[in-house]
Amino acid sequence: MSEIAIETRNLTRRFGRVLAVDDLNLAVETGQVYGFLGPNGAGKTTTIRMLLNLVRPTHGEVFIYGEPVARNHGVLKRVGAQVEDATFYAFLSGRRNLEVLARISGVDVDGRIDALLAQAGLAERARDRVGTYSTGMRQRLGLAATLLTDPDLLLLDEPTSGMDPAGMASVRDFIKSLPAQGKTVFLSSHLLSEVEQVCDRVAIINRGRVVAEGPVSALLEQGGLSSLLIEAAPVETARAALAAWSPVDAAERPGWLYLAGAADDAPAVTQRLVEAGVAVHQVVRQRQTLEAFFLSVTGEGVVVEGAGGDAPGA
Amino acid sequence: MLRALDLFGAEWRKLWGNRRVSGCALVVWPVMALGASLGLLLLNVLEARLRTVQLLSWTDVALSVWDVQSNLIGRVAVLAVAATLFAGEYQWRTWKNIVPRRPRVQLMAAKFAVLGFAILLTFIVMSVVMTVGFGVVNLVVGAPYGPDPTLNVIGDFLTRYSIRAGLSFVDTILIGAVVALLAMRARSVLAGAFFGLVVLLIDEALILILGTLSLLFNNESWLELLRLRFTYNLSNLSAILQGGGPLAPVPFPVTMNASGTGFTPPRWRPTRWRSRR
Ligand SMILES: Nc1ncnc2c1ncn2[C@@H]1O[C@H](COP(=O)(O)OP(=O)(O)O)[C@@H](O)[C@H]1O
Ligand SMILES: [Mg+2]
Repeated sequence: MSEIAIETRNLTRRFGRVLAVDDLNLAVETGQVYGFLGPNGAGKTTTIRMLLNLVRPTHGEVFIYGEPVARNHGVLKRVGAQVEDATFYAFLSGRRNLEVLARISGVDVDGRIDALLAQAGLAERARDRVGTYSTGMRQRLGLAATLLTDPDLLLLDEPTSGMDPAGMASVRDFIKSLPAQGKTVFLSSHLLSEVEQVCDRVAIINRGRVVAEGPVSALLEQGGLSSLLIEAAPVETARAALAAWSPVDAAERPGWLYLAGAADDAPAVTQRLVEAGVAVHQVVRQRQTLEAFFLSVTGEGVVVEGAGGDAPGA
Repeated sequence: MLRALDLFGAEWRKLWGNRRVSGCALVVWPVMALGASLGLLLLNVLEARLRTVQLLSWTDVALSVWDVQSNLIGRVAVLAVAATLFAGEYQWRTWKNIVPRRPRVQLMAAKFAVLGFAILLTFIVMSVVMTVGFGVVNLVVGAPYGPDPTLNVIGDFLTRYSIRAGLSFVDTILIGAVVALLAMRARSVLAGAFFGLVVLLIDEALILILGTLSLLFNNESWLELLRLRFTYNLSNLSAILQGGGPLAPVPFPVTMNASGTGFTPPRWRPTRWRSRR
């Protein structure tokens, strides 16, 4: 069994009347890219602040590599973090900012700084004041800053916000490459596609509570919601033949049938249709997107086991 | 230990790299000393009647810098630097970058150390510039610039100089502590400096306030409260360390002068350069 990089126990934070984080229990194993997905105001940043001992929990505790961060600041030496948007001393150059942060960390990294700046695509602007950088450049400098100490664990809070699509893609590729270097990544995001592309596991958080947790692939299939879309003629004969799967009309495809949760039954469905003498034009296995899943667990109405009831208005 | 120096170095670079603050609050002092020297040179060359410099001694010139540091204007420099050090990280939202990298206590200690040493360095450089600058003026006008630097004189001078510099350091740290509290509450550099100034002004105005009260109630014991002023306590410490007795808490006779400005009478004014001892 691999080591646990982050563990939270009953982690709770209240700001006045706002319950920003509510009884959060997470366990992030090493070597993963762990997604922390939630809409704005869900409590992602507050959680990361507590992981870094920047904010004191109202209840509960954070353990990084088994050490309680509130009582052992030293364990944060193994962590590199970027909380919210990247902020720097605007009057210093990009390079000088990294030098200052390295000194504060107490690590000797002069050789690494140039490599990190080059990796961030900032080699040419390294001597300019950060005040003159674009948001995307600052975000990339922020990422470079998290790597200064060659940390084992990276906490990245929406690292692609403010970037152009090309910048986002390169940051995602970069994040994906980290586990191969033995690093663990905790990536918060409100972008479903980002988590879907980059993460191995995901916790979905809404209004401070985890509403779903698991491997990304499993969540996509969860609840038997993966379905089949069928184009067949005549459609009424097909509907009768497939009664066992309770077909409905597909929402945006007139003449198509939708079989909820039947993704694994494609061969059997096709066979039934052929036996009934129906012409089968297409059988499409429709994987549920994380987007749809996300809406189903965070939105109103749809209740997913163990998640829906107490989330809204808690 | 090396890691502590690293942290000090980081804060030191941040302060001096912030040109607006380091320029306006620190670099300006040696520059003013240079300007004063040049001005004095010009005056002496142009106008023989103003040849007052010959009454100066290099020891007094060097020491006078610490009077500048500990008066209200000098302390405003301390306010500016301290407010930047302590509120800047809030204003720039950079606390979150550094707090995970070091325990807070170390970060704060480094900021206090940088504050103290930056002020110290600034005014030491200022005193060197001014001592040399005024020396040049004296040389040009052919005036003596005593005393002769015998071992005794130098030893005595260095002792007094270290005491004054050390007290300035303490004064700076104390003001820094007040500003740190205010600035970190206000989370803004300007607000921190402003509230710091208010505290300094109240400290100064206490003379006026308590003086008035003691006149009104014809009761001098009100003035005893002046012992609470931290400016008084520092001057007192300074006087004791330099071999004088403890000071009275009121720097002038009350009956004559209670309506005074509240400022300690300035001992330093370029046009009145006469040794007062
Ligand atoms: N310092 C604070 N004071 C008061 N409320 C806060 C503070 N920080 C966060 N909150 C509140 O906590 C909730 C969660 O915020 P946050 O953790 O920033 O969410 P996210 O990062 O997921 O967008 C929000 O309702 C926010 O308004
Ligand atoms: Mg956030």
